[in-house]
Amino acid sequence: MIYIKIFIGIIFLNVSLLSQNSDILNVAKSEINRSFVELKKQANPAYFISYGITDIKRVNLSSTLGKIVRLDSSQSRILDIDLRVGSKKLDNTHTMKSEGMFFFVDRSSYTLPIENEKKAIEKQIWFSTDLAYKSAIESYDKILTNVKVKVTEEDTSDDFSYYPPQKYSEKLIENNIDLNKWKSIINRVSALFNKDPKIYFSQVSISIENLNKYFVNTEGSEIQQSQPTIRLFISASTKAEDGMDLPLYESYFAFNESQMPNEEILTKAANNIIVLLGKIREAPMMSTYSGPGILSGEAAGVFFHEIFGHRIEGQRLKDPDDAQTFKNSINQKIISDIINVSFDPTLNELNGNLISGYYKYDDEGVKSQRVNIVENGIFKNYLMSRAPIQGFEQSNGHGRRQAGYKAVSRQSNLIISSNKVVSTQELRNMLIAEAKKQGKDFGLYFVQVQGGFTFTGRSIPNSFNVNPLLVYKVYTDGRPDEIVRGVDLIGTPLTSFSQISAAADDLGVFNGICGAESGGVPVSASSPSLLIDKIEVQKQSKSQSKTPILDHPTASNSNIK
Amino acid sequence: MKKIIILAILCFFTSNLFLKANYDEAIRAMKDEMQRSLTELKIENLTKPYYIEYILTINNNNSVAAQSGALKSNNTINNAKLSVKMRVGDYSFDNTNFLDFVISFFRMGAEDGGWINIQIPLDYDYNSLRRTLWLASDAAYKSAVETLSKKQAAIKNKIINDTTADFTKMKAVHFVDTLENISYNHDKYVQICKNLSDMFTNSDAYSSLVTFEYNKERVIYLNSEGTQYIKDESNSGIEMSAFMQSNDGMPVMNFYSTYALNPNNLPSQDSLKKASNSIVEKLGELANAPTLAEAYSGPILFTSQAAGELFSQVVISNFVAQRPLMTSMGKQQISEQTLNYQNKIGGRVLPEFLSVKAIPREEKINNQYLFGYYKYDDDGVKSQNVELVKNGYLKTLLTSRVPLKRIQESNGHNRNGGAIPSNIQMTSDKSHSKSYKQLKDKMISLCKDRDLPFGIVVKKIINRNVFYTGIMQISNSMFSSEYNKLTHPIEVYKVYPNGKEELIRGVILGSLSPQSFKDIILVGNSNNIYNFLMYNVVEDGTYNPSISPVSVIVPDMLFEDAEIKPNENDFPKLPFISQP
Repeated sequence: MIYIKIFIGIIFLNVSLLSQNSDILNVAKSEINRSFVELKKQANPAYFISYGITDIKRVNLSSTLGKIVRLDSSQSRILDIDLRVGSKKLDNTHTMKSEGMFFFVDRSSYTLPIENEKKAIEKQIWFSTDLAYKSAIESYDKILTNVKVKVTEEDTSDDFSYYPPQKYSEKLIENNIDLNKWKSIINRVSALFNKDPKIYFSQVSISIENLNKYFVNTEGSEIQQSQPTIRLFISASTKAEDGMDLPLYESYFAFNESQMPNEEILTKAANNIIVLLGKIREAPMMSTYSGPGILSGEAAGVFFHEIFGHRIEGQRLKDPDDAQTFKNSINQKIISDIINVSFDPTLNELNGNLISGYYKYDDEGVKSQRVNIVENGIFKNYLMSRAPIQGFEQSNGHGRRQAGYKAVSRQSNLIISSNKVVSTQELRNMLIAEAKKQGKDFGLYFVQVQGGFTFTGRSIPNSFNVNPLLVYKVYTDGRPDEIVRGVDLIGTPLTSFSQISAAADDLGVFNGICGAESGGVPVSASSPSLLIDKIEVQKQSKSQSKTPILDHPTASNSNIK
Repeated sequence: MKKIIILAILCFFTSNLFLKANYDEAIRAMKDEMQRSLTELKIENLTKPYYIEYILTINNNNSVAAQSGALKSNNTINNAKLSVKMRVGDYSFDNTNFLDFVISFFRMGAEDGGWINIQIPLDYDYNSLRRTLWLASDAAYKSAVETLSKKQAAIKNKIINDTTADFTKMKAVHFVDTLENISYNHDKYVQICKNLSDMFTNSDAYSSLVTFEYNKERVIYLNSEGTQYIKDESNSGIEMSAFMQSNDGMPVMNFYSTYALNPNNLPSQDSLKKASNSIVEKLGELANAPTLAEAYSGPILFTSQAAGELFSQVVISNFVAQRPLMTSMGKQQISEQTLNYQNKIGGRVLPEFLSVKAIPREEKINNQYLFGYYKYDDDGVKSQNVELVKNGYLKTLLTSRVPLKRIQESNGHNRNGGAIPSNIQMTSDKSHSKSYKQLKDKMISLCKDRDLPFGIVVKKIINRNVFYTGIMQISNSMFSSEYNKLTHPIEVYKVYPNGKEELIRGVILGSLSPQSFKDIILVGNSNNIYNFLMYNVVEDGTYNPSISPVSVIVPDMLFEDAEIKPNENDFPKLPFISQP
């Protein structure tokens, strides 16, 4: 009991601190101006500085089998400095060529005190800015030499683009959910997993993240915005007799407590997971397959995020080590003309679904905007930060990062839509027809996926991998659908793209955290169910460890069956 | 403000958390699952476990960090963890003392390593514990039989010379070693940290950090030999660090640390304020101090904190008995640094006027609390005072239940995963212990004999742990890891023939080994009691660093011959921007 109260205490704390927070912006403003004056006078003058200060408050709560296992909270304040010497044409952020495999993430980030004590914050900002300047002049020197000794770049665009100063300040929001209420709810939901002693792992968890972001730069921008999120997960896993671990989960995303799912929904979801896991555990192992498949909206969203989304992030087109898949695709047809792809960070909702890639200003102080990437199958645009690429000089508000990383262009709310849709039943019929045409006994239906990954470099094959959790065989001879397990969806981007042939009239949404060079950022991917004429699956890596030797210790003498 | 009060009151209550823990239920669940595992846990054709240990730990960790008068972090964590240790084979030859690279390096996921530190609910009950113990025992057993078969394979084609058993049998013990309810007011330490850190705000220090930590744990333990105990442990400490640059760019640092098992035995706020003041002052003095013109070779006197740090860094880890681990590639070499005494039992390791004892059973010396005090070790073995070095000769080493060829019995030094020093006290005979003045005079006369214009006193050396928890956190690579060595002492003084002392900066100390301690010619006549947190010496195969409270009690030490030289490295440039 006491345990819980302590944390409620901490959350109260956070509220009482809020009133003074506008001071932060003023301290940052006066320090950035003072530093800029001094650094403009140096032999290597600074031409631009920005400070991004992020207040991060997190609460994590999780329950297993009816008992709270974890309840903790944390608070930190991170300062990110973008300090540039040289000129917009060529500065210290320029991509170094042939740096080899040395993987160095330049993290100009520093921690600040969490209290609003002017002197304490000033001192840390001062010391951090000085370090950032020293590191900038060192990089700039190296870059000047690098530019001289290496071949001329294909893309000679500038390193930085102008963006007019922005002033924006919103009331800081902070989520304080009723922990006692939610503790009881997740305890009751997690207790449902007691029903199946063969579910070896299960958890219901809530993570609350309150981000308050402050941004100032030497061009005169001042932005203050809140990005609160709440995520709720129900996850469980079982083990097949052959040792394969079989996880399944359900996740929920909300901006505030009132949007969180109620207990009834959660109970239903947990019960559904229990039933499905029982079936998956008994399901046959799928072997290698190549043939037609349907991706549910959610699965299609993740599929697009991996095979497409990461390849249209602007800065990759400038990186000589990147495969630059869509470099010369502007105004080219790259996919079936029924498909449109856009990114829209200005939306927090799509057809009644909350979507998590929402923000008002990106992490470079640029206003968010909708970007149409593919219109009727024709490639139109890239996701841009303030680092220009040839032909695309301006940011379109996609310079993003996790606090502590350098902002680069990243995805937001990926939205796939189709000009021509069929009913889901029709899509299923088309799958069966296509399978028959290809001489297959069945097609595959990917209902739920866990996530995926891809490579975009030149030294590694440009494949992607999407990890399905729930896959059905849809037989051509009318037999009922059958759950199968043990396969990953794989492929290469351009080939897979050319195989998309139809879309349904539904919409599936996947909310998640995308990890890349600028850290983890919240994104979403939404799509109708898609029919793909040829997909390929490979066997999943599998645990070699057997199921437990002994039976559940108390299953026989309690109501656990 | 209002909130901090709420927090404080609640934290005060958390001490009751331990009282709420349900021991009977825990022990009953442990006994039942242990019995089932001992009799039924078996894979066809493979051996059953012969020894099982269940360890349930309830933790309460409080930490505060402040910088220039403002809070930097403030955390309270309560959790409960469960670990299972399992041995298959028998006492003479089992799955331990073997390093399986595959299992050790790729410990991930629920099944590999899923029996160590499993987080469990604080309000665990019989059923939830049984269930966790069931899965953890299963995972631990599978790993144990696999490791045993690898170990058996590794010796198949070898003639084994050392047939020392893997584990010693122990008679069952039952004890309860719980602490009185320690009164603890979290808010008080939040304020102390803020107040102390504020002393640095208007100083020339570039950055500074003041941290406080108080950790409390209760362990509920059961093993299959019948040993059963409940044991409380606590430790607390305050650390302060600061740094700046001299005009020539040389980075200089200073720190303060104090530790006590009970936070109420930490120094008063007034004396902490004095300490932080003196750190600021000394840092400024250091930044303006002269450097050493040329290398020096001659007598060096180590006093106060430097004597403690020197002894703790160079000598005491060598007192730990270390069993070389067998691997599929032969015997595993252990870091040479800590092995100097392993084959020296009976040999001389110090001058004949010096002796060393481990005194874990002493709570205080001269009314000062010792950090390495405890009643029982983690095996449930009663702590023992041990004579390590008598009149210069090494008698024995500090041991756990893992026997060595020459030491079969545990002397109660197993803490946090392996044998580790406790309170280590160095003493001298009367004729060689002198006052500070006499030590200085002796040094000066030695200098005269060698035509040296001055002698050297080292009074402060960076503490290894504080270097990471303090200096590295605030200085952003200004100090390389080189600075975390004896070779970069903080406070060094020239001592002139008239006795005058002059602070110098930027000196590098020539390396000192345990053998160098044979050349101590005189020691001081008072004790330097130095408490600190020590990293584990024995590698338990998990590669998780653990820290234990340790204390050394040493006199000032005069070495006949040592070396220092000026630091002639390149230094970072001074700040381009003026301080706000």
